[in-house]
Formats: sequence, structure tokens, C-alpha cells
Amino acid sequence: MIRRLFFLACGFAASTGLVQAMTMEAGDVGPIHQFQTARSSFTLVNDTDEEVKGLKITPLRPQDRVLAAPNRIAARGNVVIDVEVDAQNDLGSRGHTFRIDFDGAAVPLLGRVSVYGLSVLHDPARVLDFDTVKAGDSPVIDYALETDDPAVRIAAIKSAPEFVTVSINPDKRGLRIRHSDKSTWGKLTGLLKIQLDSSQQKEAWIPIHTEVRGDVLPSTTNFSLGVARIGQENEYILQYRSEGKPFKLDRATLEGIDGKTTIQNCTGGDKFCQQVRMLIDGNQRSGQLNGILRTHVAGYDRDIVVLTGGLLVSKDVKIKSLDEALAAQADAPKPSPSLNQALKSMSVTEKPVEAVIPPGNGPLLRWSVDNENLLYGYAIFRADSAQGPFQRVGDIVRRSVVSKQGVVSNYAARDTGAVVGKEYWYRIAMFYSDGKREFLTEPQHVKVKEGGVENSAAK
Amino acid sequence: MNFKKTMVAVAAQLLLVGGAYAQTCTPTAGVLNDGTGTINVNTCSSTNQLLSACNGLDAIGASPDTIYSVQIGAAATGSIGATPTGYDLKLALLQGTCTAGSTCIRDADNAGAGGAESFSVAGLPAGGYFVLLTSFGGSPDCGATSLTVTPLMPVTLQNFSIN
Repeated sequence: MIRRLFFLACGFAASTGLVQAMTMEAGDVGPIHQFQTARSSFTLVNDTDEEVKGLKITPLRPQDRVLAAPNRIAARGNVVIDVEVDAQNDLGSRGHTFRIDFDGAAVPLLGRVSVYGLSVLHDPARVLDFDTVKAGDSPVIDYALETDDPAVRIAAIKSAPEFVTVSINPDKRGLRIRHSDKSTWGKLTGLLKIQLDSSQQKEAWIPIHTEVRGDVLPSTTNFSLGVARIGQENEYILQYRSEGKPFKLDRATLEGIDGKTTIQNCTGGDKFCQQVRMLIDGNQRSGQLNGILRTHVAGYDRDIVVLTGGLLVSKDVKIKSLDEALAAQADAPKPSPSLNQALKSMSVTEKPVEAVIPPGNGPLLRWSVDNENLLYGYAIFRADSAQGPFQRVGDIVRRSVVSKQGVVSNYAARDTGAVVGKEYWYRIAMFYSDGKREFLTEPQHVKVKEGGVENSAAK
Repeated sequence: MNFKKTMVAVAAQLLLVGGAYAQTCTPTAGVLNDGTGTINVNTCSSTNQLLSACNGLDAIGASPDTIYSVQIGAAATGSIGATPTGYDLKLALLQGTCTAGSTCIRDADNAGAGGAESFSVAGLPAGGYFVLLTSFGGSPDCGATSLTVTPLMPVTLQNFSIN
């Protein structure tokens, strides 16, 4: 993947007024399991007649590393930047970004390495949600480990959110997660980090959510700031109420978002209501705002946590409604196609994407699909029985980059590890760009023979 | 200017006084329930607003950020996609108008320059979201873009054989 980067080299630009150009070829690690590291590289090409000096590459993720990088690029030359990326909790297609500084650069450039994060868990995006919990209660969630490889075990609990206690089941294939009866009130989220006994993945992070309802309730535990504006005073009010018992908030703080808070009585002298007025600082870093509002209830000695966030953008940015834009487009008069256009559209036939047949011996699996634009790729899964467990054999076959909706793509993959004389059940799995995995086909039974297979009906 | 936003008890609706939009947070319909289609936009007419996206892990440089608000109805199953002209598009769906935060709930940046990006909205809670069109960086980092909302088109298996 080639990305063209332009930069302003001040000294050069001062004399010529030109903008120098540099080309970046991004690295691509491909599929790796979460918490694995992999080496990759990206290339920087100096397209100008001036030498680039003082080159410095810095990973934006603290776990990533630059292994080797020269500090200059000759005129019309190129350099390869060797890096190591740590997938951490990446699921699906993710980018690992590196900041590129050099002498005279007006703004840093960015280099990138792509990763497709896999998990040994069947449903790695699953959230363990206690939903609504009455303060003082301690409900339990039992979590069963679901993996392709039945040998994977939970080795240890690395860390857990403070509102739960976690124990590992005796078979090390499950967890018992108990909600604390003394937890903070409000919307609580956290990650349960477990160490896995697996050759593929050493760790897994499981999100846990809960909403604890005490005697004092905020009007929402998920407070949207919507669109806040740079340079403006962005004011919000969140009310807290109790049922039949006066209360007092004595502390309110914003965490993760710059702003001020003031505790006020609600209008009308309602003694069962107080409110927090928030003034979001319009001069903080623009873009995404994500944080919490933490208030303390005197008498109960409990904090209430409310998730808070939104977007901070310039005053003049107009955020249009996509719904309205689509409606306007639909209402707009359509130009009548000319006869030539109509004939042209009729004569265009999209050719299917042909499969590349892998060399070697072993069962050759071939499949054809349409509407694959949300997919990253496919893989063969094999089992010794129709019921499984099915385990991946071979690499992930990347989706064709030229595939289009409505055009059939053909694929092929070979199981070179199959043993002649054995019977197997095969399925094709599809991997979505967001990391989700689903089976595309039902199990199909074959007996492996020299030079081919003996098929039976799909089961 | 001071504009005031007030959340009242049992907030089912966000009231934005002076805001650029007002959306219900429990929509029964939205673009992916009762409206689909394509709009054309030139992202170069936007300005840089976000330095990073998706929990701050994904730097997006100084590229122009085009932002739409969008209502996604209950049980929506379609997809949002965009095809850029000559630049490397990053397409993301951010929380933010009905739920706190602006984390990327969906994003796509798999193809290179000129490549189409898309994501599914299946499984999302009904509500208001932001659609972000931006770029990882490079030059050009913006351009003519078609933004398409399509109904669910499941991956369709045409043929499967083992030889």
C-alpha cells in the first residue's frame, strides 16, 4: 500500500517555495493472535533532490518498537524502517502508527503497519454485562471459555475491575464473576484480564459492565455531551434524585475531560433533587471527549459514576444529518440517461475474481462468494467429526482487493497436512474486518485418497 | 456565546439548545431502517478537527474530518460504506449523541488510496451516532467521496467443493 506524504522542509522551501514529497509504503503484518508481537517494516522514499536529515521514528503505541531506522534519506533514495508491533488487544483490522520527525519538518508525518488481530476465543468482543444491579446485591456471572482448541486453559487472573471478584473454575475452562455488594454506584466498566495457557495467545481481555442503582440516581448514567465547541463555554446540567429521602452531593469531579463542576440545588426547592453543572473547557485538545463525572453522596459515603463524553469541534463546523442528506438526494430530480449511457451500462459485464490454485498435495477446497465487502478473509477449518471441534488449518486467505458487491469471487485453499486414508469434515470460516468470525459453509465430509478425495454428501 | 444543554430526569431525549442538531435517542427508524442511498461529498471542504480516532490508538494526522450525525434505528442490519477518489479513506462510526463518549464503535481503514471502506451496523443499539470520514494522512488526504448506506447484503455462498 503506497501512501504519498508531503512535507515542508523550511530551509529548502524558503529558497525555492516548493514542497518536498516523500512516499511511504505501509507495512502489513497480516493475521496474528492478540498479544503476539511481529516484525514488519515500512519504507520511506525521498522523492526530492534534497537529503532528508535528522530522521527520527517514534511509535505512538508504547508497546511497539522501532528496531532499525537510519537518521537520513539520500536524495532520491529510500530507507526501510524495521519495527516490531505488539497486537495487544487488537481485534480485526487495526493500524499501528509511527511518528516521523526530521530536520525542517513543519509537521510530523505518520508511518503505519497494519495488523489483523485474531483471538482464540470464539466471541472475543462479548461484553459480560450485569445490566442493572441494586446496591448491596452481589449477582454472579458464570463465564465458560469457548475456544477452537479444547486444550486452552485459564492460567491466572491478571487483573479485574474493582467492582467484581473473580475465581477460576476447577477445570480452568470457566470463571465465576461475583459483583461486589459494596461497589461504587452508577455505570461501571472495566476489563477482566486473564492469562491463558495457550501456545497461540498468552492473554485475553474481557469487558465487564454494570449499572449499580443506589438510593440516589442520576437522570442518566451515560451522559452525552453531543457536540461541544472550541472556544465556547459548553454548559451541561445533570440532575440527581432520590425517592423520598433528602440527600447532599458534596463533591463532583470530571475525569478525563477538562472542565469545571458546580453542585446546585434543583429549581423549585425540591429537596429530593440536586444537580451538577458542568462547564466543558473549549480550549482542550479537540476531537473525541471521553471521561466520567464522579460525584460523592454525603451520608452514604458513596461515589456515583456517570460516563460522559462527546465531540469537541470548531465553532464553524457544521454537522449535517446523514438522514436528511440522503432524503434530499432521493428527492432530487434524476437526469435521464442518454442512449449511449444506457447501452454502455448494458454492455459492461463484471468478470468474476478467479481463484489462485495453491500447489502441493492434499484436499483442495474451492468456494465462490458474493457480497464479501465486510470481510477480511477466509480459512479452512477441519475436524474429525461433523460435530467438531473444528480447528483452523493453514493460513487465512485474504479477500480479493478487487472484489465488488455483486461480483462473484472464487477462492481455493489446500489442506497439505491431511493424511491419506483419514476421514475429515471441512468447513470454510469467514473473518470479518472487525474481527468477528462465522462459518460460511456446513461441514463437508471427505476421505483422503492418493491424488484426491472421496466425497460424501454435505452433512 | 454560552449555549446550554440540559439533561432532565429519566433522559429519553437529549435537548440541545443552540446545538447543531437535535436527535431522539430511542428512534424506531433511521437511515438503515427506512432510508438508503448515496450522497456525494468532497471532504476537502471540511477542516481538521480530530487528531486521533478510535480510543486514541489510531492517529489520523491533520486530514480534514467530515462528520455527519446519523440515526440508526432498532434492529438495523445494513452497512455504511464510502468510496474515495484518489486518497486513503478512514471511515468510522462514533458514539456520541445518545451515549457518552465518542469512541469508535465501528471503523474501517483496510484499503489503500482510492479503496472503498465499509462497516456493518448490525447489533448496535438504536440511537444517534456520528459518521466520520477522514484519512490516515498522506497527500492527497481528501477528495470527492461517495457515502453509501445499503441494506443488509449477507455474504452469499455460491459454490463449495472439495477435490
